[in-house]
Amino acid sequence: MRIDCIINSKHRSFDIDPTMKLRDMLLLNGNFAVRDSDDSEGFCGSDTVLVDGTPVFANLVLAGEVNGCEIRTPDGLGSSQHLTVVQQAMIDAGIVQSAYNAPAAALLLTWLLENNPNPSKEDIKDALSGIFIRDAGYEHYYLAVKLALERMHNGSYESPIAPSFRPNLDVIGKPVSKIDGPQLVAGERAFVEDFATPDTCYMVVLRSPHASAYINSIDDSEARKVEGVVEILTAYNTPDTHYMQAGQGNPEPSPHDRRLFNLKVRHVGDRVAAVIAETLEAAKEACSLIKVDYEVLPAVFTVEEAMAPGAPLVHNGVVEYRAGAPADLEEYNKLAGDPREGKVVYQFPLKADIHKNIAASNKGEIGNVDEAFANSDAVVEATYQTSQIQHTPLETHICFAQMQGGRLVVHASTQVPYHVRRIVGWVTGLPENKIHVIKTRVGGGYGSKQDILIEDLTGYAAYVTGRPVLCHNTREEEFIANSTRHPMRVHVKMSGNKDGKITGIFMEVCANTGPYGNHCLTVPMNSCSKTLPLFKCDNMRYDLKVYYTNTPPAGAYQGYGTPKGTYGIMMAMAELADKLGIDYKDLVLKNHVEEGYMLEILKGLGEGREGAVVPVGSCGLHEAIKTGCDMIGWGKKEISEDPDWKIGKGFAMIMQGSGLPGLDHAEAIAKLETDGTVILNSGGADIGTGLDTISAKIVAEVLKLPMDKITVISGDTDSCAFDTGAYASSGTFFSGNASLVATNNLKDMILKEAAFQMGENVEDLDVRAPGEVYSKKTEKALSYYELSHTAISGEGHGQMIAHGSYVTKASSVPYGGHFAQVAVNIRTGEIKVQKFYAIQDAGTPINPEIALCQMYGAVMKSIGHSLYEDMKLDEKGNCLTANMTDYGAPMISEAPEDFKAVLVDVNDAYGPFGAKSISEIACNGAAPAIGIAIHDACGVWLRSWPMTPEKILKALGKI
Amino acid sequence: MAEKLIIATTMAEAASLKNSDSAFLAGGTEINRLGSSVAAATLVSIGRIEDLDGISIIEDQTPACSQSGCSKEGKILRIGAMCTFQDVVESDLVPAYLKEACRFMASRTKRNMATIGGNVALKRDDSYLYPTLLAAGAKLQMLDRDGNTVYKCAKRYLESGDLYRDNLIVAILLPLDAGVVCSKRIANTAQSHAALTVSVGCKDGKVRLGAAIKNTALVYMAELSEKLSSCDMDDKEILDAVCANKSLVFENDIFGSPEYKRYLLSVIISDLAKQAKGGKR
Repeated sequence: MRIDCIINSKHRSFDIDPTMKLRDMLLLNGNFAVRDSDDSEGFCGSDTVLVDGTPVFANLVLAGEVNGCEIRTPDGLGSSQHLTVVQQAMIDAGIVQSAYNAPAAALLLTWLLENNPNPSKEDIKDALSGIFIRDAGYEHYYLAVKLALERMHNGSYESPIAPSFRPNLDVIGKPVSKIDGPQLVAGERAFVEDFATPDTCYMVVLRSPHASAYINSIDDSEARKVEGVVEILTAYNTPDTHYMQAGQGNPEPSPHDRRLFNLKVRHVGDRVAAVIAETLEAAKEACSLIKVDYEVLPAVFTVEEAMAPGAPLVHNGVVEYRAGAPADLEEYNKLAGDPREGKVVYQFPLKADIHKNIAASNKGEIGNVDEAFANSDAVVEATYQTSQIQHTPLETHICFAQMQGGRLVVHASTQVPYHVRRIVGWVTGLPENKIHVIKTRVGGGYGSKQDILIEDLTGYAAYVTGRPVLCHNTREEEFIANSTRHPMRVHVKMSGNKDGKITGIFMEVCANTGPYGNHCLTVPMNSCSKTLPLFKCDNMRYDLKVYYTNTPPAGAYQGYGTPKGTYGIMMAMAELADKLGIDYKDLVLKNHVEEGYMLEILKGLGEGREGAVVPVGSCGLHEAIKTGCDMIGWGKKEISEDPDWKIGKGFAMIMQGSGLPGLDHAEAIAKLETDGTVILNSGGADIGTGLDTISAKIVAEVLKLPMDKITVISGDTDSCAFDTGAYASSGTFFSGNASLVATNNLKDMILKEAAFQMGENVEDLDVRAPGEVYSKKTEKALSYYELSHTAISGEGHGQMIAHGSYVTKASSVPYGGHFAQVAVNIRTGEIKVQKFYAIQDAGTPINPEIALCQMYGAVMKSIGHSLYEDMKLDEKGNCLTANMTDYGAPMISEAPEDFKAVLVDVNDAYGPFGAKSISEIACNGAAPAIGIAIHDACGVWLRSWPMTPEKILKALGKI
Repeated sequence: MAEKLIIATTMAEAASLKNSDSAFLAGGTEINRLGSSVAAATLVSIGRIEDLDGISIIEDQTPACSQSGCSKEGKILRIGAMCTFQDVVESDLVPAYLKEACRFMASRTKRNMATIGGNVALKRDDSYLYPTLLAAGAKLQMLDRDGNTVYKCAKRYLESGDLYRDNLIVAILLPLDAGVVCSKRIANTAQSHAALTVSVGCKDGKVRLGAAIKNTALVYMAELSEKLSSCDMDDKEILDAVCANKSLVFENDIFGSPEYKRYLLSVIISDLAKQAKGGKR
């Protein structure tokens, strides 16, 4: 059928099948910014376009229906060189972060303002009601509209965008447009899918329908006959290499307990085979023709089932140790079962016991907890259960790999390009010099892209076939075959005296790692190591065990184990306050740590090694608590006009880290180019959080260069130097500090070279804007252009290239307080978050507007985890909520009515220009704040996620 | 996945093309979505049929339906089947209770696409609209394959199973005075499928009660409507009536336990009935 239409003001004709989806037609036209995040579910809005002036989902429209229509797509607004007012306002407001949906959101806001020049907050909310924003929350969308309108009417912004910090600095601590914002908001090539070549083959994975089964045989003969099939990979033709998919420092505190394909499948969705074919349709068809004979085994889904005597074993193979093997290993291995179990290889002991389904364990104590419990005025003891939840990045996992010049080139949407290179090297057998990993822009990570979940297989497939291969997870695969937050059972016992002193704390953590042990030790460790150090308490004990089960896999998730531990420990503290008859705020204020307090508890809480006992450094905790209590009116009871609605308030103190001292490592290379501009090659992985902008600001600040004279290239393993990656809140602190070291070194080289060229002493020289060296003694000046030009011409000393490497034992901890006011309907159980105030100490917020949006985004996620999101499994391990609608991710309708993020001004001693981390910590507070507020509202303690109306009604005795 | 798309230009053409292998394509939010409940080899697009558009007040030409007790009105509100949810929200003619039901579809973009006729035809057990149409005593105007106009009240259409499946829904017809109609939707998030949508209408003391109970039924609760018309009932009495209704089988599913759904259905009916009978929205 011939389709004639106008796309972005240009007449276009297509001779296509009219049942083709409009989005596919637009892709043919090159409108690749019309993306797909939900496989045509009509939820995420990545596929939003205007048809005859009305926003619609392009995946839900057939091409034949738009014949004669006028279509506008996000990429038809403004280019990165010529942004529209709306696009620029979005960048300036800080909402263009991972930005997979930013172009679609720009289109919606443009449409809104074209049709409603003075929209109310409700109008804006309505316009954005069909678009899912996971990274930055929705609050600054209102600001973006306001800014756009001001600029449209007055030519400039009048409203403040974000608070500024450090008046002595030029760009650090000030809202400055994110450097990759124009490319992202304009919908230009940025993400992995944009770099696939026309000859790309597609890889589709056949997944297990069983939670636990041996594979007896695989017959792929019919599948191989499908035209276009290039290769089919199974356990029978792939390497017997055991590894794990966690992107952690090497050697990893996670067991190597999987191969590319195993002969035992351990969860519904586990890999069975992969088809590489010249078309996606052929790959799918071939997949459907593979015959697999399974020997179905009993399975376990909860830690209670996994720890039960005689429970089915998730792993029952041979155990090996790379270091620290126990003396009885030979005896232990006599218990190994079927050879199809494979192996479990530890890099060092994790106190595991696969014959009890224990993947890792740890325990430790300071003081004497039992004695404290025995001698205290009150003791509370309760168990808090968290659920299995998924990151739901808008960009589902994707990888494109191809062989070029005898090297394997991997385009990856990853938080850890160097770990990707290492692990792809393991499975292919290629040395690292033969692998080039290019981190593209990342359309949402939140920890799930810290794991090498598809790059291993895609890289291997491209290597063995010699063909370019694209693998792109469906949304369902994100749920069943990706990584998730570890479900945890956190048991807390806490004692205190009537004087308000907490005397003892015990945390017992039982975590469910699923079928493989990615992050199995460190996530639950975080539940303790990022919560217990909040307390000035001399007696503390923790005991954690991590169990293998047959649920979908768990892994890293923003906040790591901390949100779960914080939920348990803060709820218990509120319960203790209740029992002691002390106001919760007073209890918090009396027991929280402050600068200089020595954290003895950290001794046993290293990541698989002894932890360093350090004093509390810069700490804005007290100010955060006081500020939040004032804002929310702590102590003032709110009464609803409707007697069925009860209102309550709650808060939680929170902490995180800024990378892993003694483990993390970051490097950067700063080059003065021949015209005096600077290119900084950062090993850091900007996943949309503004890390590249931080590096650019650091260069600008140190060298007094305008931002547009600085380019940051990051996450490219060929051109940049090593960095452990963007996880554990390390980006600003480690990668930023590496950029600072490299830039300071470059400055030293510049001054030295300038001294030579100017005939001056180095001590008399300094740099100044707009990028020149000047003499404090003679007042002579030399531009970077002249300096660099001379250095590389004729007899010069050569290009100035500085390397910076950053490691530290210093620990810079961000703190904060999260406050909630909720309304609970005691008749229906409905819960509304009326107010949420996030007050955080991030040290110097280098990008304050982006920092605020990350707080909003993280809080929205954790409100979702606390109230709505849940991966529900049936009795056979099938996920019943493996789509966005059923899963329950919150959108703008679920945002608190009054939502504020506030940055406490603290200057840290170790972070670059005093900065600490910002994003992860913001995931930690919502659950306990809401849980405590629910109790304040209606008197019930909800001790499990998600806190639902049904649980309210049960707790109230209504059902 | 459909293999053929036909763009119908008249109602008669569309109606004549409908058979067991074809489906009407209205807004596309159901047929084209992941996991759609509708599958057909041929899609008959009805998006360009002007007669299916428009919201207007017209003379009531429908016959009275003695079986369902629907009365004949003087003037009625006609909402063309291809009107989108957003068209209804923006119309000055549409009563507030129906706008509220349309706003139950939280996504503006989806409201721009989804049509009234499409949502009614699906008769989903998480329907945004149907309970409200039942409570308001709405009627449907349809066209059969032979070009005959057929009128059925929403209740009869619901209870007729697949009898009118191949008819083209032309319009939704609402009495200008439907009395007081109150609705409530319970869902995990605004975008989630509803666990429960309940609507109670009351006019001249006569109560109409419609409910969409996920994985249970989309139902006109006739017996309870009668009881509520004749007397006031407290929560317990309503819960007992719900439990006694053996045609309502409540599943334990992702939307909650049977006890939760029964309880919730009861208290919502109780609250809405009080509002509707008390004349308050």
